Amino acid sequence: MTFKLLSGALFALALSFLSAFAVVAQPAPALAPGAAATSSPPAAAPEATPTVNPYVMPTAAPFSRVNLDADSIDFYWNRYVIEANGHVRVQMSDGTLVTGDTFSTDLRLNRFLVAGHVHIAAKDVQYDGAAFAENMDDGRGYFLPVFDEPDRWTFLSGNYAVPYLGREIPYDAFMFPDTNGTAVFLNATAAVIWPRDALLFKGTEVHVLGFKAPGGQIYFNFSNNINFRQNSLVGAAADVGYPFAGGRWWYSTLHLRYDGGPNNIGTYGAFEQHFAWDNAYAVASVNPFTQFSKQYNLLASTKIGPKFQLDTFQQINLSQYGWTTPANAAWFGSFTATTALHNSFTKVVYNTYAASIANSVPPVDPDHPSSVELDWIGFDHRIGLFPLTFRLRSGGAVYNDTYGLGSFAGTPYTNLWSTWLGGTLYTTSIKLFKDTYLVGSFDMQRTFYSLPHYLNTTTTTGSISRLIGTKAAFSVTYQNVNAGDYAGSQKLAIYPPSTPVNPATGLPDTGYAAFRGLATSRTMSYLLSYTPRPAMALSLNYQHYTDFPPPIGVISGRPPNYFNADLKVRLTPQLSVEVGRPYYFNWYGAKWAPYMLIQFGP
Amino acid sequence: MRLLASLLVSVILATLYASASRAQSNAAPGSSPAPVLRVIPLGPNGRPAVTPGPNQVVVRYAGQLLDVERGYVFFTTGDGFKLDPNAKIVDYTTKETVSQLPTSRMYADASFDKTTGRIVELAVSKRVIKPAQDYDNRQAYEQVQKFAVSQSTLTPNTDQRLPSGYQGPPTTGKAVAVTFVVQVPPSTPLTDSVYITTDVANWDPRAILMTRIDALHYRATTSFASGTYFRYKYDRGNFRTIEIGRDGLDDPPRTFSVRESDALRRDDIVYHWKDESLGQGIQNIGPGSIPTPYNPSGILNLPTPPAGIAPYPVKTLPPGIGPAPPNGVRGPAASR
Repeated sequence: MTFKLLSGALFALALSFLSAFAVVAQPAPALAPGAAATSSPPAAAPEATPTVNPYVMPTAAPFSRVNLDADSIDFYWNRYVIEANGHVRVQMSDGTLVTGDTFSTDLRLNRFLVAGHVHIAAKDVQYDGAAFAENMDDGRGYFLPVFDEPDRWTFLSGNYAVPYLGREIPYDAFMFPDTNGTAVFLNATAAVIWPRDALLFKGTEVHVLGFKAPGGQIYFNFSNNINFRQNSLVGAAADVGYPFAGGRWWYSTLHLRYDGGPNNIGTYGAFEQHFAWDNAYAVASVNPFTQFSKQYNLLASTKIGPKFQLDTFQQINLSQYGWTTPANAAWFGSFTATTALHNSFTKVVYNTYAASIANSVPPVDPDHPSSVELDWIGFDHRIGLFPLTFRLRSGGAVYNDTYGLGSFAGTPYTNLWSTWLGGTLYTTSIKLFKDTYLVGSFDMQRTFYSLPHYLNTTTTTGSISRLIGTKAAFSVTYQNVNAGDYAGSQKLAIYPPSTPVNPATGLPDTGYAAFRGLATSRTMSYLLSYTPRPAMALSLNYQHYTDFPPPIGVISGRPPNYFNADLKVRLTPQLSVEVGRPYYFNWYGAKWAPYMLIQFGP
Repeated sequence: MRLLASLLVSVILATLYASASRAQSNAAPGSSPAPVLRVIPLGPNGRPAVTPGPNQVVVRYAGQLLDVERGYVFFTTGDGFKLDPNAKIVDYTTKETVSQLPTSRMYADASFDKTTGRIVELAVSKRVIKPAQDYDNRQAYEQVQKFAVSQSTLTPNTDQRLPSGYQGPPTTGKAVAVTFVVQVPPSTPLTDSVYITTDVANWDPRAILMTRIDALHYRATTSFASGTYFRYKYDRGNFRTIEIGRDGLDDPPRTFSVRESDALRRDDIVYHWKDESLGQGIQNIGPGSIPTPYNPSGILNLPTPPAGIAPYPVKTLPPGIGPAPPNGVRGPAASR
């Protein structure tokens, strides 16, 4: 009996061992064709890294560019998400190559994911696995290798030769961005990604209203570097840009533009070239390049150290058929140097103008008009405990005008000097009573000229505002601007009585008969602003001007009555529109301003 | 009879031992022994779970697939689970067996044998599998997570952190109304609008319209998801009129972290605009505006005097010289 029980137990033990061994030795199941297929033979598991849980200061991944190739690449513009499928090939600028079945990147989060039969080929090492995710901000690579069993590895700072085994991986490291309900903006066959900066798609098809249009090569810049947004093109009534090339620090854009109205240029093309760095930018443009009259612009700035900045603007206007020798050309150049001082700063501005730099015989202005100006501007200082703040400024300038000598009282002059001293005094918001506040400011400046006269300018502003809940505000503002040109006994020589003819009416305008260089402008402004919700802002502004000397027709001055409505509404989470147009109350026949503002934006 | 009884006992013992061995080889260290009770929860779509075998306890979890490779199923949680050799792979909707292995991005409803820790059925779909309202998929994940296979021992990661830039406690991403109130320089024209430009809106200079509340203050309220970290600057509609620093230099953009709150407020001061006339003013020395003793540009509304009237030294170019720019504006160009 005992023997039988023992034999039964032994038999059971043997069976159980066999069963357990069978489980351990069982190969990976081949449930369906291709279950174990990989693009390359699996690499051997590396030795465990000695450091169990190192703390390494987060550093960006050591690559500045990612080249992506796949059977199809989809770009969701409004989500800044790229998805790619089929024969995905991700080549990083440090030489690391990752291949797989599918790819996703959320450009805002600055990380990408390759999944499905992943193969990593880095310097001296190769791995196979299920998925690889790279967080480019922190230089963290997360990998799910598959040998006999899966594992979890972490790579630090792009060092793929040293995996940290078993390290906890963020829960969302391998999650695909959710693009459900989001429309694809374009398809491409290849893309270049400059992390945190830009994208370049090749072989694109742009989705427009359900159709696909070939788009060639398209560049997108999504850098948070504001210097990329500098531009040198003057405003146009309509502008569509096509960024056809670019890189991490630059891009090139062709523009199709339209200008009607007074300028009446019609439809034209323009080109703009951008360069941007952390503390500098340069933007050059040709606008338009399709017309006889062309404008070449250069706008550049660089900050040298924390307290010094150089800016320049260069513009050449020329008449030119195509790219032939210009018929004539004029150049304007401006250079500005700003220096931060203790509690103040200075600004030196040099401007020059050359009316003819091509084909003018004789030259119009052999000695170009120019000016140099030095400004000193103090910081704002509060006066004790009073709700008053003041700011001082001073400066000087010399103007050199060789474009025909000026003369004053029979004395010719070439150079004109001026110096000035000014200041601003303003209040903080002073509470009058519940939700009602008063603010005011007073600005005065006196400018002395090397020829015997001086100019006084004062601006006085007072405003009472009433907050209506948190969504609306009403304010009444009065502003008075006085400008007086004092030339003593010479004032009649400078400002002789005149009665110009108003071109709008054909009648003499007597408003100037008494003008002796003292001008006054008064403004009453009534403003109602309403923000019912964060996605909507409405502003209604009526202003009445009382000016002396009064405006003459439509050639000088401003209309006495002005009303402007400005509405901005968010249409979708990605699209908003701003609409506005001033109204002139039939001022010499002018009712509405020539241009209506309709601007769509993100 | 006794022999038969002992054989039967032996077989049962062997089966139990083998099951225990399988569980031990697949389950994470420290996992609790299989419960005795049969728990068959309703699946994510409310349908009955796979029919369990004898002593088989099934739990289901639905998620998105990263890969199915070498007998393992990987979910986007990063977990790799062993696929049972006899597992069925079916279409989630039709329940028919699929001939191809599931691919990345597909969604799957996996049924786990809680005894072995293996996936015994995988129902796959190209559409999102939404768990039924009464089904706690998160709790299901907590139950199956221990079945994830990993060669290495899990070690904590001390340098996990939130996405760069944002500093603060974890956030839910809910909409937070943020009100900006800015004090502008006294020289700001009364007719000008003030805007906020931000990297969230790709630095559109008219991204957020502010409404004037008095001569020196503007206000705007907009909503951001909590956890958003963004850069911004104030401007008057284009980059030529953007704010500059108190020291006259182009300062880096301001920054804001949207923390978890119902509403937030930010008060700022703009000391100078980039186009601000600081003193005499940056003169446009183009034709017709060359500075003169009479400084006509300094006085509002002064008419252009008729040609030839002395002593106005108005300069005009000969015809055909110096074509006007497209919009008639000289000097630094306005932004689009």
